[in-house]
Amino acid sequence: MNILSRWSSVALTVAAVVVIAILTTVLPGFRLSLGTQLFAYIIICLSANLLFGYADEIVLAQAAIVGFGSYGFAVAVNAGAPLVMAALVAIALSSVGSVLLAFPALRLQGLFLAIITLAFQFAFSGIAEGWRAVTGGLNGIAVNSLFTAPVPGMEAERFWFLVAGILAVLLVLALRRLVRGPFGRGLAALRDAPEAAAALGMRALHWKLVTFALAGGISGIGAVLLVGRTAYVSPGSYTVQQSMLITVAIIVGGVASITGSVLAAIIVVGLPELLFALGASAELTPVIIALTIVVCLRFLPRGIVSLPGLVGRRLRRARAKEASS
Amino acid sequence: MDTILTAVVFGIANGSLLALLTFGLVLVYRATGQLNLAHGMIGTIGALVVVEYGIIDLPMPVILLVMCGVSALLALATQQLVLRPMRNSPVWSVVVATLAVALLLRTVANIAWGNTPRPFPPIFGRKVFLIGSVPVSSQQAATIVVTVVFLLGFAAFYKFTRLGTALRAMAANRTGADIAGIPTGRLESLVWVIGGVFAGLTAFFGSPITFVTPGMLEPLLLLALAAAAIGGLTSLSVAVAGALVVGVANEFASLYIPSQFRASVPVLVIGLALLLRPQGLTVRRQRGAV
Repeated sequence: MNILSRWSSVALTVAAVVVIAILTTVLPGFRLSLGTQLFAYIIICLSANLLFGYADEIVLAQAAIVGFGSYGFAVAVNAGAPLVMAALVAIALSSVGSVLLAFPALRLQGLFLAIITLAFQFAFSGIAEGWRAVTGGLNGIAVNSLFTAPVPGMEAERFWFLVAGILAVLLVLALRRLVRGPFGRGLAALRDAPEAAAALGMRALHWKLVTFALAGGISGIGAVLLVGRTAYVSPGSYTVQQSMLITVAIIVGGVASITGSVLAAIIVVGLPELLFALGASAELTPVIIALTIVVCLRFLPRGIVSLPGLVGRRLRRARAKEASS
Repeated sequence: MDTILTAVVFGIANGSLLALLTFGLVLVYRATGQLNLAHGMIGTIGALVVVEYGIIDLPMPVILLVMCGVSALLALATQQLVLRPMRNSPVWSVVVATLAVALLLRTVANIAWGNTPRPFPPIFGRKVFLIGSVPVSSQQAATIVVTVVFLLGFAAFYKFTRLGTALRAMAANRTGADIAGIPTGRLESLVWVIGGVFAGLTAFFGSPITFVTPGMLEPLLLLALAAAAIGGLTSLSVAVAGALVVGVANEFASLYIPSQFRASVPVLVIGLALLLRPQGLTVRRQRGAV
């Protein structure tokens, strides 16, 4: 990275934080809430893309990983833990949930991992609905103390928007550095040439545990923000469909790409809103997801991120043809 | 002792239903390398169509025919419209695509027909007889018998007919089969149709137990995936045996695991299968690669 791009990225970060700070003061409440959700999902999609894209593990249980953190956060806050403590609990729990999947990932590749993670997701949903003593069953858990922000004189919505925005910007930057640095290259080596990586002394067990723990922890941050926004947890937000939506959004946005993760978050949050704005029922969301993914896998297997390159290549080819004729 | 015996008998009855579902799943995977996560929904739609359009009042063979027919058509449509164009895509994209199809069917069914469970009369009557001290319903007995008949019938077809041989050739070595002049494209469609028929059969025998809802086969499909995983996804016989084991295990789980944690049985079974086969579940693929 040369000095110019380093300065430009610092400038961009500062600009982004300033914009978020300004938005915090001017936006009306419901937009703030939507914004918080978007930031939370940017973080979650970064985590999902770390597993699905960079580490090439077909994990179909992202919503469950997030759910661990969300329930943990809600229970901890209700038990009287201070916010930061509760957030740490959430991050730890998501991390543990994610690491649970790292063990099968050591033995299983591709389809088998997809199966066991899907089963894991169903188990999570079933237990979240059934274990009423802890999860509140279908009614979920209300976290009423979150309606007042910890900062005096600030509305809760504005507080969470600001926190979510800053965390999202920081994590985008951090992940960008991470995947471009030694860690990212290590993941690429393990993914593309596992035997060579092993021969060079890389320990797959160590790497997978770290990757899953890290991705889980990042998801845990997103989980905290999601609960902070709504002051409520229920199984309905952590379903198989949600896991599916996240996976699909990453494929549509761009696999193994930071920009793709951000696009994915816009899809996850924006699609139901768009349907709502168009007057369509939110029930239709899965139909749109399914159709999008089938079309996308067929025509744009590398996602929206690849679109500029694809169009550019077409144009160049057309121009070359013109020039030669 | 009696509860244990009852659990075993019920487990075998549920397990043979599971075997039907698993069989279709593994059959398609073996021949085409495509794991069809929409398998359960494909059967479910057959059942829903039968219940919703008054076919339920017609004679039993008609019901069976319509159910399997609808499922087979749906399977064919999935294969032709979604999977055929993706032939050269990576493994994960096929899984995601079939999961998307499952989601699509599930949602469309929910919107079109609602979520209320509709009864499905037991086709083999409501008689209950005792084997020793264990009560067995005629429906359960019939499910076991029919499953055995269908599986043996298919095994014979697979082993002794030209078509079956061609299918086996395709499963063993696709390129080789192509070169030998076997129309693998058409056979692939055929396998999906057979898979659809098995999904329809499962729905036909499962409906009286689960009632008909858009999500009726969802828990069963997860267990089927567990059973299939025991057989490494490719072995039909191990998968069928696995289905029986999973069926019995699930019955015991419902005895000893409190209901709120029962959803974790499939994960535990797959995890256990892993422990029992420490070399992993991909042995066959490695052998095939040599």
